[in-house]
Amino acid sequence: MSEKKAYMIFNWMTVGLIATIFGYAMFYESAHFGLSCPYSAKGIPCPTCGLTRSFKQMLLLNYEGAVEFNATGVKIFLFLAAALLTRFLCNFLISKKDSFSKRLLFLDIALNGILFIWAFGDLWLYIIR
Amino acid sequence: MEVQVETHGDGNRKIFGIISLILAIFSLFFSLIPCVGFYAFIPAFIALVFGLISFVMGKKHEEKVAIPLIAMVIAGFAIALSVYQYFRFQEVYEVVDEFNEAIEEGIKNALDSAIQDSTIIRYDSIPADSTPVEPNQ
Repeated sequence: MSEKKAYMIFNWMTVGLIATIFGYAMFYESAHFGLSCPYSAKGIPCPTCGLTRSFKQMLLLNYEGAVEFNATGVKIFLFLAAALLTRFLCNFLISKKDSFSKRLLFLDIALNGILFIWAFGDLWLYIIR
Repeated sequence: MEVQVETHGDGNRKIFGIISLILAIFSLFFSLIPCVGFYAFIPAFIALVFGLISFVMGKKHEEKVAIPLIAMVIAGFAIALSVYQYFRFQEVYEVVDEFNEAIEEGIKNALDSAIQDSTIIRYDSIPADSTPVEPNQ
C-alpha cells in the first residue's frame, strides 16, 4: 500500500469517527443513551459537563445555547469540525497529485496540532491544576 | 521501470497501523475529558496492541514503521493520562466522602449536644418544690 493510499484511508476513517461523534451528539437523547458525569453526581464542578448538549446546539447552529451549556464544548466542536473539513480537503488535494506530498502532511499536522492545543488547552490546565 | 508488487499482507500491516493511529489519537482526546477520561484506557490499549503488531510485522519485512511507532507513542501517552485520571478521580471521590462523613459527624455531634443541653435546661427549669420528672417521658 502506498503512502498516498494509507493517508487517504486514514482521512476517511477519521471522517467516519468524527461523523459518529456528531451523530451521537445529535441523537443521543432519542436513543436514551447518555453519559452521566460521576463528578457532578458528587456535587463537584466538572469542566466537561454539558459537552454533548453543547455539540448538539452547535449542530443546530445555536451558538448562544452551546456556550450556555459548555463554552469548552464550542471550542472542541470547532476543532472537530475543522478536522472534518481538512480531511475532505486533504483527500481532494492529494487525489489531484500523482505522488504523496509530505508538505501537505506537515501542514495538516501543524494546523490540527495548533487547533488541538487551542481546543483542549482549558482541559489541560484543569488536569494539571 | 520499477514495478511495485503489493501483497495482501502488506496492506493488512498498514491498515493495522492506520487503525492504531486513529484509535490512539481519539483515545488521547477522550483521556483529556476529566469525568470519563479513565475509560480511554481501553481504546488506547487496543491502539497499542495494533501498533505493536504493525510495528513487529513491518520490522520483520524491513519496511517503514513510522505510523505504528507514532501510534504507540500517542497510545502510551493516552494510557498514562487515563491512569492519572483514574487516580485523580479516586482521590477526589475519597476527599468528597471524607468531607461528607465529617459533615454528617458534625451534624450528629451538634444534635447530640443540643439534646443534652435541652435535657439540662429541662432539669434546671424544674421548680425546687415540684416532683422530679424522668427525662424522655
